[in-house]
Amino acid sequence: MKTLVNWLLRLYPRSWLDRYETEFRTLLDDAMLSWIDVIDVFKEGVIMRLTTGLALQSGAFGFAAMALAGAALWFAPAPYESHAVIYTRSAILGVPKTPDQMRVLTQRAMSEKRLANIIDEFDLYPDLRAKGESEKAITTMRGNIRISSRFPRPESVVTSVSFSDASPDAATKVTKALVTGLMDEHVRLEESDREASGILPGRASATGTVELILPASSGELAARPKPAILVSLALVEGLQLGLIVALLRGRRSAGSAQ
Amino acid sequence: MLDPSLLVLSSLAECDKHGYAIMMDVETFSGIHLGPGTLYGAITRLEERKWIRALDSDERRRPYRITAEGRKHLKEQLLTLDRTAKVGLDRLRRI
Repeated sequence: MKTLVNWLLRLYPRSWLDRYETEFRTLLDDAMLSWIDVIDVFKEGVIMRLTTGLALQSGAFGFAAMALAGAALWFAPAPYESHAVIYTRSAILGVPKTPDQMRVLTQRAMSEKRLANIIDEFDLYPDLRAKGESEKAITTMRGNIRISSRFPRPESVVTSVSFSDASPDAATKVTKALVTGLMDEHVRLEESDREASGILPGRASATGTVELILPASSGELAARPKPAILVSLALVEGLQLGLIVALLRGRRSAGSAQ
Repeated sequence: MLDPSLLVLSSLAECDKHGYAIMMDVETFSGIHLGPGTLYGAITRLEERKWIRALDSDERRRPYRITAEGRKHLKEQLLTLDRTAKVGLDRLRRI
């Protein structure tokens, strides 16, 4: 317990230790310390830190983080987003659409080759391509694509597609291209299901549907977190970082003084 | 509920004492255990306000003495507490 208390002394400001350390250590040696006393030493150390330079250092970090967040918001290009919705109903009764099928289908629609074609066609990420970083361009593009599926009925699936970009025009065009790719994949899946059902007579019914129920919208400003929330979060994170840095600095100076 | 500074001043009102002696004395007369951190936090504040002063000592244990300003402050605080206690007890008796 003494070792722990000695370690906790590192929490105390250097100036305080210069004045009181000897007698405080003597008191700690004299007293029969309980866990409550250990907590008390910790609590007082934190209070002293907070009422000395620690608050100032944390505050500086907090304000710096807040300023950075503000600058990032100010200079970051506003992303535009376009989205579309596809509805698919299977022609094969009793063959439900599954999340696994949709995952495979999405992977095919977002294959490297297909995305590379779209990037070339719409001249996306010119800076990266000029540097020959095509793979990075594809990774960036993947990060800007959102595809999700839900299943209102076992044999039907609603797929939402969206793409965000600094240009509203590019956002719309790419979303259209992605939708085309996804619809092709849906049709292909439908055909393979139909072939499979041929093995089991009587399971094929009326024709299936692959329908674009919401065409790619024109690029709109994407929903972003409110600036006030972002800046507040940056302030809190900065304060935390400042606290850690100040404590580590205090620890180092206490360590070197021993 | 009592302010640690008040407990330390009350202890030093009797005679000069070092940290451990203050801790023991406070525990004896009030039944309150002052943790080491709390005790030295109070000593630090009292010394800053010049209500106590450290005495020279060759030993590792440094004794403290209450100053005239410290006595004045302690008296004021205790009188306020005394009035509050009397009123509170009187009101409790009426219930």
